[in-house]
Amino acid sequence: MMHFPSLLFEVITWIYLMYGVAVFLIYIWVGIYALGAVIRYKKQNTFTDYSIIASNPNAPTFSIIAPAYNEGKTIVENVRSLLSLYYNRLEIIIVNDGSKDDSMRRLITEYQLEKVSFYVQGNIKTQEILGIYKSENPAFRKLIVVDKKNGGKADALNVGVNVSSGDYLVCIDVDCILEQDSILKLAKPFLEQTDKRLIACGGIIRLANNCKIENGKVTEVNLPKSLLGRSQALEYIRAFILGRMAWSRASGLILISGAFGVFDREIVLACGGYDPKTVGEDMELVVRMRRYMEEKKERYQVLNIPDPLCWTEVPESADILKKQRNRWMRGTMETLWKHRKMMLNPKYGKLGMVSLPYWALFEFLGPLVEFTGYICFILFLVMGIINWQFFFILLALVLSTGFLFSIFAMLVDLVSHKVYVKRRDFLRLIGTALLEPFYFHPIVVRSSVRGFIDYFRNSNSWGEMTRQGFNAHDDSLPFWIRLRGVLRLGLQKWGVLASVLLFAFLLGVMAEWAWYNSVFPNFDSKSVVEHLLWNNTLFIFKILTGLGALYLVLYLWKKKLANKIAIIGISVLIMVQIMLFIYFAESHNLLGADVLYYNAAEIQQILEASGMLTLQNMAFILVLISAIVWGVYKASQRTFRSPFIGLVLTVIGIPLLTIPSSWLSFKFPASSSDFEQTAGTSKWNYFLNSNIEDFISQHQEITAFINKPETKTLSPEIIDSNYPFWRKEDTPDFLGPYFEKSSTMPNLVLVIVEGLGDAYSNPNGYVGDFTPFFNELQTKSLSWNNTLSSAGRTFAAIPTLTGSLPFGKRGFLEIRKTPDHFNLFTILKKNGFETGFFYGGNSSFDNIKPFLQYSQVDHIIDEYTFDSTYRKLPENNGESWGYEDQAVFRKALEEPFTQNKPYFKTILTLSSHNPFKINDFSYFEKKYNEKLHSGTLSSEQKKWALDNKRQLISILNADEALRNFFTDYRKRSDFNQTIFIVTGDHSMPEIPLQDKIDRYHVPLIIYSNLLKRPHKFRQTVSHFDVAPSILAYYRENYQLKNPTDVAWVGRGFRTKPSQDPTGIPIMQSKNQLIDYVKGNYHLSGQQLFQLEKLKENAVDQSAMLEKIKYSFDEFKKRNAEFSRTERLFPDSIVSNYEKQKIPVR
Amino acid sequence: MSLHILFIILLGILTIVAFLIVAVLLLSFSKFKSNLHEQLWGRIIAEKIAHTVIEGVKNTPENTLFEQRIQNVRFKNLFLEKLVEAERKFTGSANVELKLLYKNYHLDQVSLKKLSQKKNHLIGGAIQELTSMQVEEALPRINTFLNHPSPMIYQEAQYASVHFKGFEGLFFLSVHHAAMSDWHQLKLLLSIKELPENAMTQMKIWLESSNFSVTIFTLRLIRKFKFLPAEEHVKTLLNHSSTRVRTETVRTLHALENSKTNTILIESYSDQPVEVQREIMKMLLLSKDARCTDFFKTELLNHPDIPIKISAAESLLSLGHKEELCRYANDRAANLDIKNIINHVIKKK
Repeated sequence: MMHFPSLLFEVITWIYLMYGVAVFLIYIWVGIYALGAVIRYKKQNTFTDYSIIASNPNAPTFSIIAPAYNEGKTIVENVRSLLSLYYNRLEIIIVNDGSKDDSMRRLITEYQLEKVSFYVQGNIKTQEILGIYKSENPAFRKLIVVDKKNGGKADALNVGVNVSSGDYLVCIDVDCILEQDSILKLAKPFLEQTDKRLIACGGIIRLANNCKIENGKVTEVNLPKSLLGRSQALEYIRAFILGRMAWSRASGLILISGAFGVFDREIVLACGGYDPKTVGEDMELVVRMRRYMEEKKERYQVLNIPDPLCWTEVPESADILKKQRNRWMRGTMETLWKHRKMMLNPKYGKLGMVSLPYWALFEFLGPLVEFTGYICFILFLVMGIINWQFFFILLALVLSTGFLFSIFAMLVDLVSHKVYVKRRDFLRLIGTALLEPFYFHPIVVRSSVRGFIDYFRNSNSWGEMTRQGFNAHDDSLPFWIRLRGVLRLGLQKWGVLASVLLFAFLLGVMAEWAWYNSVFPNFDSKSVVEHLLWNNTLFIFKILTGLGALYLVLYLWKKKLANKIAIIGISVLIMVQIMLFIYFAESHNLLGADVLYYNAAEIQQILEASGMLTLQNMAFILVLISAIVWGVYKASQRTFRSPFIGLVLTVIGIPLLTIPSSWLSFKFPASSSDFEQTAGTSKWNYFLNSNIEDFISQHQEITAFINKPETKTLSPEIIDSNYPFWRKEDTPDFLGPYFEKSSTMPNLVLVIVEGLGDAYSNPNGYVGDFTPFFNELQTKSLSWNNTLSSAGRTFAAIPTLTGSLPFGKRGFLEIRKTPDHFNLFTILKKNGFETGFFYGGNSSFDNIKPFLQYSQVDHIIDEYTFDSTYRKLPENNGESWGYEDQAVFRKALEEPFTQNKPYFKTILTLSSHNPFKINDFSYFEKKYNEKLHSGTLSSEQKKWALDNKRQLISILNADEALRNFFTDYRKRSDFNQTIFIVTGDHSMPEIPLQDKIDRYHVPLIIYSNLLKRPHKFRQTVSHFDVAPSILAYYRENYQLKNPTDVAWVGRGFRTKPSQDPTGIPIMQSKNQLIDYVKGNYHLSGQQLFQLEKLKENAVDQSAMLEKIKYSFDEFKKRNAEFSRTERLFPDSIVSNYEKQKIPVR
Repeated sequence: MSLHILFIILLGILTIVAFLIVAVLLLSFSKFKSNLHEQLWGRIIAEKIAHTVIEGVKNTPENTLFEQRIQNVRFKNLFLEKLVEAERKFTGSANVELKLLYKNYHLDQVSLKKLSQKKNHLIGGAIQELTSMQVEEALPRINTFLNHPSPMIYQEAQYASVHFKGFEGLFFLSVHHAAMSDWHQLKLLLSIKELPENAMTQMKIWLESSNFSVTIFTLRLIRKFKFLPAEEHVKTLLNHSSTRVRTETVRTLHALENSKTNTILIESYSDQPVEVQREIMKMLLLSKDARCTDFFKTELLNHPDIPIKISAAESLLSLGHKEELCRYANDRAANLDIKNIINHVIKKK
């Protein structure tokens, strides 16, 4: 099998690769586009005389708004710097946001301020204004100082907006140092606007750290001293020179830095100003302004100019930096969430279709993707599945691309403005570009991830319990109001849990589809995904209804208990979902209640031998469980604001539960194989239904309650209704005419080849002939190409082939105390045969051993009786199924049997069992390749063969073992006196089935030197027919003493199907008795198929369907009666036979 | 795609990235070096210009460093750029000396040569240089750029045309269909030094232009030169469909103010949108016309728009009605909003 972690590794690697490619392409676009924007701006403004703006009487008025909180030490100097800006039509509004220091006192003293009565025109809701101050000194007439109660930066800015009177608002941090001509340079784009309204404009912000500042002006530019500071200098160059310029040119800019930005006052007021509830108020405002313009359908633009206009201090301590980036991440998330309506909404043009998705995908998800990448890397490292060559080249590519982007930004900066002119600074910047990924970048990523977590921890965005006006614990409230309130709260909580379940479940469905796509490349992927999605969606909505109702009931009783059960339930549901589809992908079988009928040791053996129980898989499952439980646990701590989602997700399943499932199903294309159709089912739905049915069938009180009491209908041949299979033996001798009469009793050897299906043992099968020896033997044998096994798995092969026995509830072998019966072992032994059973595996598996012990088989050979000269099958993660077929055949030849005594040997092979690991693989692989290139396969067969290589190689091995067995047997004297029966126990479900019947379609041959002539029979026969016919042959030709009363299901080989009154019941798995063949019809579940040479077509013949169903029901009733009594006939039948004296031959 | 092919692709991309890194680094170093050169050259040029401005071209001492580099094309271009910048800052004889310096180094030939270039910004720059340095003989060639598709070029050509030909240079406005930005208008307004007496004929056409930006520009032109003959035509624009045109009309009428202007504004006041009303109030405030007292009182008390109320209160204050305003503000029964506005206006003073 392909390990789950390996597949996951591949899928995850591809996801990251695709994401990386997208980032890479965006970097290229940003680089090229920004360079163009910078060059164009530079060319357009080479000769611009900004002084003409200053002297222009029509120039726009600007209001600088600078909020200040505890800036007492620097505020006087900062205001002086602002007052010295070159621009006449300017007002400077300093908003003291409830500082606890002496900021106000210093300002009042320094600028001779006095409190004035000021009519605030703006109407944005803010904290209370304590006073507005203006200076008595005409030199400071531009200055307005507002003292207000503390309300945060956004609130302070809003006060400034309300107080302002300019056309445009310049919102800055008060500690920023503006270039003297910054307003002039910003005014120009506003003067240049024509048909598009410029609603916001930003400029380049530079780092003031380590720069020489005199009189509020930067007089000498230096790089920050610390690596952290230099990294930010580089980051600012990248962000402002490349990122913002490119997005500005593309009309997609949604962020104007809060440290320095200009906004159209009218639009800001119309939008309601800054949002004080967000920590990313700068970005949120721009997005809201753009949204406003889009909704008004007015043409507008948001620009960034590449002039360095503002200098700001950046944090050079890691702790402050972390807080800042944490805040930025939360701000981004808040803005994206608040404006999610615009995301991918064409109504909002570039904003909705490009800018916001870009921010969501790369700016918001970028750090998270990177962080999860580190986690995946560590996990893969632990699991040892890292491809180091691939890893290193990717690492090199990521680092070099990052470096390239940084130095390219520096180059564009050099083209634009020469800020860092010192050679030393230039070289240190290059050095910083090299070091940044190892120090600064991890801090930023970590802080962003922390911000992501903090967002959910502190934010109300996921909703909080709405308790306004209601307290569920208030006992004074009437019962019904309390009940309604609690239910409402329960629904709010269930809404989150149900959403998580729905999301995780559908994610699991997509993973299932991806898995199938990877493992079965020839799948009709579209049909499978459609059915998978549809069937699973129906299922999960039904489950949500059930779970929702249960949750609410529990919630009414005990909230914590309800949550705990929900966490466990949802986690288990998701885990089981994953396990079920992996099981299906591995075994090609749906897992149902049959899982209950394997004991722990058997399950462990299956898992170990299939290679599922590896350390990597266990680690993966552990991680998966932890992740699921953690995710659900986290979700359980959240609550939606409204009960709506919870209610919808709970009730949506109600109609689905009431509508018949057949109404909700839609058909696969006719060309789809049965395997594809099975793959498209909801594995969980099947598992659940199967277990419910099994539960019901085990509880007769329920069955009796559901079903109407029915009178037993008896076939005239049935002797006693309490023993519905008991009848007189009347099997005709079908085989006798084909054999020469021997002087001695012929020996009998029954070879049951594991997984030998018709599809790949027949040149006309859909896979082709991969059993050359078997086919050669077939030409010399009596052969039935249209043989049906009695089950889809091995559990029924022995009782059916040797005893034609009914199934009982879960297969004859599962009956705790083997009921008295007759089989080839018991009857032949009674007639003097020595009996043996040869198997390379553990005979306790499927309870074969108790059956053999009941039959008193003389030689029970299984894996514990082989010595070291025999070869075991290769181990799969330390576990082998047992001995290879060659060993089993050899053992069957070498095991000493009494001379001159007839014998009956049954050989059950093993090598062609999942995981198809064989010795000498390369030798058989060569044979496989020879077969592929032999030209005997059609192109369609070749395709099948290529898809199922491992399986077919194991079949070639089994065939070769069979050849050697016969070669060696021929050398023995008893060969000529031996009749060989060779068949498959069932077809391999691991090779996808074309038709449902293919699961049971196996070849059957009887070979012996006693045969008069070979003959090929076209009739459909079953394994049930083998034992009766063999015994009838011995009875008629060698006077074998057979019991006169039997309980055979089969009637022996016949020439016409219509001669079979019983039909062929088939168990797909230990709990699924849903297949039935009668005449030329196959009933599978509720679907009827018409058969022609065991090729089937679905037919819609209701009369025939009813008839076949009736016949099948008759069998099921008989089988159910047997299940109940676990007796086939009265004790006396067997004991009387046992008492008979049969002369030794 | 197999892992091997993917590996090869990634290796290929890595090689390209490595190559680009080397290329960008080389370019960066080269650019950094040329920037350092420009800094040095900038200082040499600044010294040369300073000497020229202070001492005149003839008395400027020989500057070896300058003379050595003037043959370098990039140096010459930088010199040109700095010279044009300096020309804007200086007037009078210094300005004349700078123009002489321009001629002496045959920089006019450099500028004219640039007119033949294909790059828009070079042509635009050359037009600016020739205009600043008053190279009038270049006008015919500059005029050929008036219909150039690039705004950067045709706008520079327009400025030059107006600079050299005055009002006549504005005739392109009659056929100008694109919206003119404030920046464009500002540059044109700065370029024109006087209006001919018969300018009204042409301006009448522009005032009636379907291109509102041309109308606005003409109103600003009238305002700049206080061109009284235009008043009658300007008045008609108070009913223009564009609010922006009406606002500019109010400003222009104020600039052309006569005894009837305020009456005209008040008469049209009630028909105007609030933006225009605000502008009228601003203009009336500036005119300090006592005849408008009652109008201001009415607006203060009755108009719903706060900026208009504030303007009305300010006007009343400027007309000497402070006591009356104070009385109203102290009246307990008075409207709180109006009281706050009055306080705002009074204390502000």
